[in-house]
Amino acid sequence: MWQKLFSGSEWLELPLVTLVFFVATFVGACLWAFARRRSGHYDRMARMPLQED
Amino acid sequence: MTSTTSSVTVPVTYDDKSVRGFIFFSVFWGLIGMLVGLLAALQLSFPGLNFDLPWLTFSRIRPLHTNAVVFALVGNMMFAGIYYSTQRLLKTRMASDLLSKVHLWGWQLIVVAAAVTLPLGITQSKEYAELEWPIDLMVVVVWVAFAVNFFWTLAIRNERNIYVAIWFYIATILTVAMLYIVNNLALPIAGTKSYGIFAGGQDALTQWWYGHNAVAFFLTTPILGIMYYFLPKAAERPVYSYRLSIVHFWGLVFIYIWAGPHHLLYTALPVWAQSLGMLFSLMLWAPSWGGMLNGLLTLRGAWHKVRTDPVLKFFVAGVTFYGMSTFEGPLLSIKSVNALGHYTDWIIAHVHGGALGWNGFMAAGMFYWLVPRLFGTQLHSRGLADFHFWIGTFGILLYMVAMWVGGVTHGLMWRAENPDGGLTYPQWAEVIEAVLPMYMLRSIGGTLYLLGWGLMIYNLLATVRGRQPVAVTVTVPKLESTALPSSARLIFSTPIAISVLGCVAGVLFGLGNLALSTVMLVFLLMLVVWAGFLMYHSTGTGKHVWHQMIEGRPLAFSILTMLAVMVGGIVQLVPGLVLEKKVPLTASGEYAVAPYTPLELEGRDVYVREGCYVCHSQMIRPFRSEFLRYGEPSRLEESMWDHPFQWGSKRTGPDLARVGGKYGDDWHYRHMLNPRDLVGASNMPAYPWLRDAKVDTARTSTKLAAMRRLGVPYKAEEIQGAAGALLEQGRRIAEGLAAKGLPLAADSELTALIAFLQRLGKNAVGQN
Ligand code: HEC
Repeated sequence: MWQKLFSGSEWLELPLVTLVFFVATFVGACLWAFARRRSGHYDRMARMPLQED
Repeated sequence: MTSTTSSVTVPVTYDDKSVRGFIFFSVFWGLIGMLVGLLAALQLSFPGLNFDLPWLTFSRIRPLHTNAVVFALVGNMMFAGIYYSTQRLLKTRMASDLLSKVHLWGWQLIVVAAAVTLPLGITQSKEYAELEWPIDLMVVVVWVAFAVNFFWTLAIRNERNIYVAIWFYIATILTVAMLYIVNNLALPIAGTKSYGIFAGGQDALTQWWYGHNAVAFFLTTPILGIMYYFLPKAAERPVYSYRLSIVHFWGLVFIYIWAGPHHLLYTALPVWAQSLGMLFSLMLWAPSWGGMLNGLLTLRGAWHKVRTDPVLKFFVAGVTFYGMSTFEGPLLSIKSVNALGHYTDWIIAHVHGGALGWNGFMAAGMFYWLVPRLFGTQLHSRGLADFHFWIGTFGILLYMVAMWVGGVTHGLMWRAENPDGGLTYPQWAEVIEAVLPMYMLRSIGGTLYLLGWGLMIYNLLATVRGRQPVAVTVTVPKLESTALPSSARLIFSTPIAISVLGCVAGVLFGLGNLALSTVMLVFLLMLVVWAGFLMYHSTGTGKHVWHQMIEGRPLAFSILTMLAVMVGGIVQLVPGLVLEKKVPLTASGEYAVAPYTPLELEGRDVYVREGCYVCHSQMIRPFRSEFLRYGEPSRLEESMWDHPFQWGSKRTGPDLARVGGKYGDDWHYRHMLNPRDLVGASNMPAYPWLRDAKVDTARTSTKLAAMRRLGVPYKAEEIQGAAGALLEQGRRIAEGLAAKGLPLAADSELTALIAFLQRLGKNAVGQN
């Protein structure tokens, strides 16, 4: 289906655009994950297993 | 927020009895499962070790080994981890003691049923889905009991937010249910026999959609949940990055489900499905390694503890093996690498890195941490646990290196060509002999690992000897629901809306034409920007963090997870299932591929029962070397009447897709009675019992009728006259054999098997 879509199509940029899109999502996710921004909520969540039983 | 923590507190006594039960059975079945594995491994070096007993034969016990390790060892281990951590993370006891008991004992009943039926040859012969329909029903019932208990516990929780470990458990419960049911849809014809509703390529696609995601959602996601709970506990450090764990979760859940077709590269499966499988397998690398790093970095500032604490040693090594396996997996999905590694022992190396390194070590780490706590004491011997760790690690490495070398050797020998264009190693005996030393090394590696497991059992027993289990009671603030949100508000909440729209747009992007794809791409980009804006906007301004909104709502969360895992399944499976079978027709309008004769069908059932697929593929790949060795590449329509498909995944012996006509009936007769009479170096088991066993001809027409209900074009008179036709074809084979001095009954199982083998590759109408 994807193959059919792209073979013979003049829009060979489309797979490239898709790639850029996925890379952008990936980079975005990384940036968000590693942002140094403090968030009390996530800190609290991260400590959850450490509470005493 | 929809609920508040009141000042009222309640005492909560955790149900750790179930946890202890699951640990006991995991350890016990693990021992049995690995012993069976060792026996199977040794049989590849010494085929006589089955003592010519059907139920001890490689092709019947290898499924027993895989099922025991996957469902009994890892299954029970995951339930132990889930029961222990869920109660503590949600600050409540499991909702129903009765359901916990049903789960614990029901699961062991399933394991026992599997251990009895698989050696008896009661099997569907689909990998990791071997169990026949009555046991499948038991699995569904027990799984539902587990699910109800789990979600009920979520509903009565005393903690508003749901920790990441729990999400992984939710994903496991929902996805495994979906996969298991779809892949096991079958038409029973007797208490111990059924035919799957899918055939050929459809069955292959469904099976590997299941098989791959069993690895994903049975062997990976629950263990990741366990990692996110027990690793921070053992290290006494919070998880390195909670946000990374969010990305890890959604990345895995969304991408994993698409990767199934990487088990079918270069088969007759449509190319688009193969490419999709490869693409998503490569993408999987990112979230997997994100997760591994998140686990390892949790130990920042605590690395000195790893030196002294065996628990952390096991966890660190386990997570590292997770990283190795999730690197190797995508690597093997690259088509050129797959061309070399597929069907070889390289895959065996890969799965054992995952099973022994990731699952086994995470299990050991968890048991060493948990068992002393459950009995309020210290581990009997840290030194012994350390020793377990070192011989276990050494055992895995020995095992994997042996199988890597053996696998690559096989791959290279199969394709090696002489300057004149012929195969360098046309004889399979040469191929076997080349890796025999590797098979021995593998057995030694496995033995070391098993020895480590034995030490662990001793250590744990010594830890609990003479001790009473402790009952843990805590007092927690009660979580009271105030105004419950209306379901409408829940469904239309922003995160859900964004995710649903995103999934729909993704599907349309993949299915649609060029214009639609472009529009969807733009739409997806806008969605991402919108979500990003909302996330940025909603933090720090007193509003809830974006993800917090679904974290507190298990229902919404579960729906989203289900949606994410269903998209990939729908895009892959539905086109294959709804499209009219592309079957070549003859000039007279008949299907060009004839169904099996009654005798061949019975022979095929013998093939399925004995589990020949564990050593033989029936799928010739489009390479020159395979053309030289086996003939024309396999075509999709050639297996279109095959319930179940038997394409196989491992070539310990040669491909059989076109073995029909290669040898005379007498060759097969002798070969099945003792392969070594014909091929001295063969490590194929002997199947002497087939000669004296008789086909139950009274059941043959039932089988044909069942096949017809599944769409195989048998005519009414063929079904009625099945037994007669069977005997007639059998007599012809028997007469031919008798002329060579080989006595065989017309209705012997061996006769049927020979008829089936001679039919392979001769499918076209009028060809046989
Ligand atoms: C332990 C792995 C193993 C199992 C299980 C196994 N085989 Fe084999 N088989 C081999 C090996 C190795 C060879 C090649 C050496 C030889 O011919 O014996 C082979 C060869 C064959 C051949 C000859 C193929 C050729 O092109 O020369 C046939 C036919 C065959 N097996 C049928 C079966 C059937 C039917 C079953 C199930 C009842 C079965 N095998 C189970 C390993 C296995």
